[in-house]
Amino acid sequence: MREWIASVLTGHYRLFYSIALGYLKNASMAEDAVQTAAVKGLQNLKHVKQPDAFLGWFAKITRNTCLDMLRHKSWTSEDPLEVALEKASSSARLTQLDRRIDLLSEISALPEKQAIVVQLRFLEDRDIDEIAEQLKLKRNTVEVRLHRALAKLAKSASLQALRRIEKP
Amino acid sequence: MTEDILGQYLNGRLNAGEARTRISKASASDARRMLEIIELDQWMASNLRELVPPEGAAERLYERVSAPQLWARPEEEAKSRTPLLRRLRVRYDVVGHSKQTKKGKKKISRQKKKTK
Repeated sequence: MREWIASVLTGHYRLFYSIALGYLKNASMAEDAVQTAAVKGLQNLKHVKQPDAFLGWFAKITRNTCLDMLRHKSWTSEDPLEVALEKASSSARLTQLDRRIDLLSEISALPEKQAIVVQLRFLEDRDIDEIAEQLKLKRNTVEVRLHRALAKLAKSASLQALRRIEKP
Repeated sequence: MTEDILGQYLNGRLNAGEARTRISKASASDARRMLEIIELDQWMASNLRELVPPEGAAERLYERVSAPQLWARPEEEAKSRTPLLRRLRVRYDVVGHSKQTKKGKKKISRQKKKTK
């Protein structure tokens, strides 16, 4: 059991880390969040009814852990003025990592059911059939969710701005 | 028709180039929106493909998750503490040490009697 859970968590680490990074926008905090979520998950294993649902369930725990951390934002030592100045001057020199973080947070802002589909598609390189299998959903449902999510993201002003920055 | 093309593209049955050609042939009013989605899909894939977690992070998680103390049962651990510590753990809401209900206590005492 212990081995199985450890291997699932590490096997999908990139997914969980990216979910956390999208919320917390800080690499080391994202790593902490995934670890905290893992501990929480182990303490609540009895709530998992089907082992097949473990991935979605743990993604939800990761998301909730990040939201908790944002609510009790005592871990951040950033000066608000500094953050505002940084933001104002950042658009011109967005690094690739910043762009990815912004993209991840746009994905996190999607409704949960759509976000997990998008995350599996882009972070785990899954096709629709695999996502449906992983989340125990119908293929059609996954397709509709993905379509809606992409349509929503295409309309997002901040994503449009990010893409414009990239194109010289 | 464009919806079908997009569906086929998302399912991996058409590549971006083929999907673009078919959409442009269809020239429907929403063709532009479909092309936008395909472009966004490609842009997201290329941006997120190389996102890598910090080095050794997955291994650190593996160690944390495999730590034996995480798998210790809180009830057994609680039994090994003094009554005061047990009460304090309940009062300060330590995870896994929730307050026992009357029903729960009765159940435990019944089980103890049975084992005797």
